[in-house]
Amino acid sequence: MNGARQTVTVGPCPVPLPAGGDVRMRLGSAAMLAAGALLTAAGAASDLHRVAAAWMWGFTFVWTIVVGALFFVAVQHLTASVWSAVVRRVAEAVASHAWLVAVLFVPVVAFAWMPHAFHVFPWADPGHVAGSEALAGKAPYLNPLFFTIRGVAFVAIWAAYGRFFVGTSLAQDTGRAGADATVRMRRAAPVFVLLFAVSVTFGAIDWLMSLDPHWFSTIFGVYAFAGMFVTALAVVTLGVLDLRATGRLGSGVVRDDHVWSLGALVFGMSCFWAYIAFSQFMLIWYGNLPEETAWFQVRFAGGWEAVTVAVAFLRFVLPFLLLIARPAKTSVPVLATACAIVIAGQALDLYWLVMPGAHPDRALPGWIEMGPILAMTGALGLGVWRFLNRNPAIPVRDPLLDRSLAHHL
Amino acid sequence: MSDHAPAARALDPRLEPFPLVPPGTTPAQLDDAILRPIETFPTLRWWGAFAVAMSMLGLFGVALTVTVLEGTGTWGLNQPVGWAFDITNLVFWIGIGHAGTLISAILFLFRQHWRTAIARFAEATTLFAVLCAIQFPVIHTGRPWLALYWLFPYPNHNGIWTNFRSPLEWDVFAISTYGTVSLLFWYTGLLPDLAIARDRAKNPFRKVIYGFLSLGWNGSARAWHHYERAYLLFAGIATPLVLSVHSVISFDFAVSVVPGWHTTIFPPYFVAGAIFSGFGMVTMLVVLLRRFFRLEHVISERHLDVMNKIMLATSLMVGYAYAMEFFTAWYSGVLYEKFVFLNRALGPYAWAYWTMVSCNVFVPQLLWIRKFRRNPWLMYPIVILVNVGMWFERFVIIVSSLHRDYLPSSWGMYAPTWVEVGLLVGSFGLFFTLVLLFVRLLPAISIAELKHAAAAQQGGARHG
Repeated sequence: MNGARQTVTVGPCPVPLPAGGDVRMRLGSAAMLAAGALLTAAGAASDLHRVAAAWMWGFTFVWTIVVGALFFVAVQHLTASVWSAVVRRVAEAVASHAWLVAVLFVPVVAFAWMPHAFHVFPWADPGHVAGSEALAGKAPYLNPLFFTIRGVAFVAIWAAYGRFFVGTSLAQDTGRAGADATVRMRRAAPVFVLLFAVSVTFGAIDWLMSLDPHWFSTIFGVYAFAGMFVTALAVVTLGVLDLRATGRLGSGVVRDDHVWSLGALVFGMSCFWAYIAFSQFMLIWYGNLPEETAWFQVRFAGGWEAVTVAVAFLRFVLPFLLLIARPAKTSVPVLATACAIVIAGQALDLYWLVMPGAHPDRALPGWIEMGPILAMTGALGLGVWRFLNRNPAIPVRDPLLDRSLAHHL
Repeated sequence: MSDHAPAARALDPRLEPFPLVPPGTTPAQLDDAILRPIETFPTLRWWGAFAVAMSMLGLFGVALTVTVLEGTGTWGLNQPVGWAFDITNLVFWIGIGHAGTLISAILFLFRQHWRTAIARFAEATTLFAVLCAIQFPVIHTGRPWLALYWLFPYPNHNGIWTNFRSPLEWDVFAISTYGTVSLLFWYTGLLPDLAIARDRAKNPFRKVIYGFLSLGWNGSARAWHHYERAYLLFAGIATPLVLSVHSVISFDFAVSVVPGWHTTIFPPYFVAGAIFSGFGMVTMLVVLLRRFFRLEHVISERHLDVMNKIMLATSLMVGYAYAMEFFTAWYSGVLYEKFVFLNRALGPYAWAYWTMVSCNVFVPQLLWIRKFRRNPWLMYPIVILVNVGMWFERFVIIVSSLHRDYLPSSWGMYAPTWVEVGLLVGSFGLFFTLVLLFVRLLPAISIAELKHAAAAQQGGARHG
């Protein structure tokens, strides 16, 4: 794209250093942010309840992408992975926005404390809880104070570890930190993954499951994790494909062997999501207990049937059929389509989790619903491209990089 | 592998993957080390172990005879606990098999080359564990000679079919698929090694047998090409089986509406537990294998280290599932759910529950310490307790959920009879007998694959 860029040599390959390019992506992201912000503001003026529900949708979408990317980074260190060194920076660009999740969480706290203004969490309304024995029993867990404490702890964990993993990796670029930095990240990874498991599980319970506070499912944390991880993988893969196409990764650095590995992970995790989603649905369907089926009942009525089927297609059927063949995982159009479908599937899945509780009678999103998710995705996109325009798109002094470049299937 | 890496810069030794075999080991030395046990006369120690295993197997025969002659009334089953040791043992043994499939299939797809040293042995334990597992549902039918008729659907004159809605029928499909694929995968992997054993055989009798078993393997490029393709395909087919088999087993419980059984996390929770227990068993046996057959250089402390890390990870997953069950039982607000879990932790079977939690969650935390992951003496008590704990996990799930059901008037207690204990001990006898025969008759480590992986690593070209 820009031939005059300065380069560094990585192994045998020249890699361009950032020189501000990719105006296209930044403009697109800024346009999304502006349009989304306008819609959100206009929506807030007309229907606060709908905007608040839409905020939960957008917030959980950005949350799952950013924290999923952070998990991807940590897992590479946890497993001492070598092949992925060359694609890790793209995940780091996303993971470095854990602070954004913290910022977007602030209104969610307000939803919990001001139930009458927003009507997001039924358990937050003392009048509603007083009328239900079941909800009164959950009050020790589902109350605004404990909800806030948990949420603040979770976003703090992600922000701190995001800073640590990305900061340490960027420090390596200077060439001074060397192998010590990799060892430090490998040591930190197991503890992070433990904290991640707890925080994502209870984050999912608080921000998605508790929207219908009567419903419960022990697998829900795993369900949220599966969707989160496959989406982050798809985002990283799309980022890598785009950077490679625009020459930002140099030539011959990210080869088909790396792209195939990413595609295989997207394929595998789509199947894993399907496995978890099927386990949850089938067991509840087979048991047929009213306290569990009520949640699905809403999603199989009033126009939501189509959304339910679409979720299954976008999350599993289409990615599975597109990616099962070996050549598909290195074909740019096929892989990029599959990744876009996976990301759209995550958006629709979260819509399907959030919205039936807020307005069961309206299955299709209106303009109010689209505001927050557009704005937040635009903000994330803007930040990610800003990051990639300031830092090399691969960790140029990572000690494992030579071997990662030599990765052959 | 013709790919040539650019000359890799020297890597910090802390980041260097550990050597699959000690540097300088020649292929011939690997042949000698791995084939020695099948080319020499068994030691006295092996005969001793074999005698013990055969005695346990004899006990299985006695208990089985009593069960068949007298009926399942000789077991301690009664209302409300109509399922106990038999199904506990089924789930336990099927779980043991999962480490083998994970190691041979999933770790292969994830390019974990260290798996080569233990894959063959672990796969063999899978087959033997499946064999032990299927004894129990078949015996439990009471008239095992009619079991085929009851279990397998086939078109018949009376139009009588098995109950396809029952997860027990799904088990029949899941386990038979699992056993078949595992056997084919394992046997395909054996072919090149059987040919090595054939080529080295001096005794004409051995030569004929290994020659027959190796299906005429000639080591040509064409044969290797087909072999590698088949191996990859089998790995792909076996991977979903790692998840599906134990998920179907978990459906036996989870599709019901029994509190403590009906919970959505069961499928992945059972799979994690299965891998955990399987690694416990494989590690327990591999430590002995490497010591008594002098294979410490092929299965190094670093191999044990990685296996123990996987065990620690799956222990934490199992701990996560225990915690989620407890939390959700409270969060659900359902009276019966809450009661079942309180009864597990504080009721008459609390000793079994706390045995399970201690062995599966508390004790394995020692594996955070490197010394416990690498020193066989230190890890040994842990892996034995993992096996104990995982057996108790199934016992707790099954018995503690059944013994106090919705009606307090029908509450009761369960205790096994000597026949059930005999069948459990006897199934270990069957398993150990088969393992002991295996390590004496077939190469316990994949020689061809190990040579390949070691050569690739020393060439610096292949890194996962």
